[in-house]
Amino acid sequence: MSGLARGVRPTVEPLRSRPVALVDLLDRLLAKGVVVAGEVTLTIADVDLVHVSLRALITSVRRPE
Amino acid sequence: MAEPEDGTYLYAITRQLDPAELRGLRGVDGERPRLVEGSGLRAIVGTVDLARFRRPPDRDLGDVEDLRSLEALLRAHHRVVQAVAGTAAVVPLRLGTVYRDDGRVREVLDERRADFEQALSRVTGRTEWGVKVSATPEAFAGDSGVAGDARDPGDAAAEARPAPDAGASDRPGTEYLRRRREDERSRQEGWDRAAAFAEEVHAALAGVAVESRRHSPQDPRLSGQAGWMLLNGAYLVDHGREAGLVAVVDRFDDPDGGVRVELTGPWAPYSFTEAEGGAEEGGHR
Repeated sequence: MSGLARGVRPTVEPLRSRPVALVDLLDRLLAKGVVVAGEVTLTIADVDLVHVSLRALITSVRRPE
Repeated sequence: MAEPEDGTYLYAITRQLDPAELRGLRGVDGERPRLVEGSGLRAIVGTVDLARFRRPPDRDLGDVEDLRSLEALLRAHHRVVQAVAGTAAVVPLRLGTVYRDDGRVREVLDERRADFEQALSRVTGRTEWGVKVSATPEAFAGDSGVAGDARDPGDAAAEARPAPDAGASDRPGTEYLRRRREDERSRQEGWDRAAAFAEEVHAALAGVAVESRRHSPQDPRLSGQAGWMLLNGAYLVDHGREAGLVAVVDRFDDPDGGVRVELTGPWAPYSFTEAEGGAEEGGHR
């Protein structure tokens, strides 16, 4: 029983080494996921706020280019 | 005031995992991720300093330092989950799930065992892939070179459009308005064709996948991609069927025609672990 198959076809193998775009990560990490009630509420749980703020982040991160 | 206080950050749940797979990893607080076992499950956890994650309620996420650390948090969380997903079927937890201590994690494993087992069964032997489709507006304008098989019956309407009337130029204002209406209409038609194309790509991908789900289109300010984002899909695909997915992507991808179909992954099954039937807000029991 393996998660991501180790023997995935060569056609998709190069994808593994590609850097993950933050925006793709956001789609997934800020989706609900399995929710169990944690006892400590992290501010990160405020998803909308995170989304809005990340625009500012990206803008600021890109600026030097 | 606040004294140092540790918590147990929960990354993901799996059935089996060799602790050696966690070697060398660093978690969201720079800690070394480890396993907590209970009820036939294994939780990948890390000990974190709670003070680091608690933000005073009066502070906004306004400044760049906070935002950068937020990105670091996202990436660290992902790194741990992804490392585990490379070796075992795994159910990622929502970002920022933290408990007082390991004992509480064991209790949760026990209380929610059936949910975790069900979520694990859903993703075992499968991998999530992402497919993003974007296009330049020109790609679907008029009748010229539309990518792939995306022909759409809407073209008939475009052909029925009246030819430009030479006499109209006598009245420039009217001509201007007519042209503007025409532009708007052809833009709408282009959009309709693009949307139909996206549906077709999604249907083809969903045909290869066990489950599929569409994320919202990405904000161009975040993605850095100009043009229209037509599809932002996630596909849960059985191991061994990746070639089928790639074939669909290749079939529709047409950079010369202004249409880009991009495959991302492999992903831990982030998009397919939500409890079904809206139980995710905790109203399950």
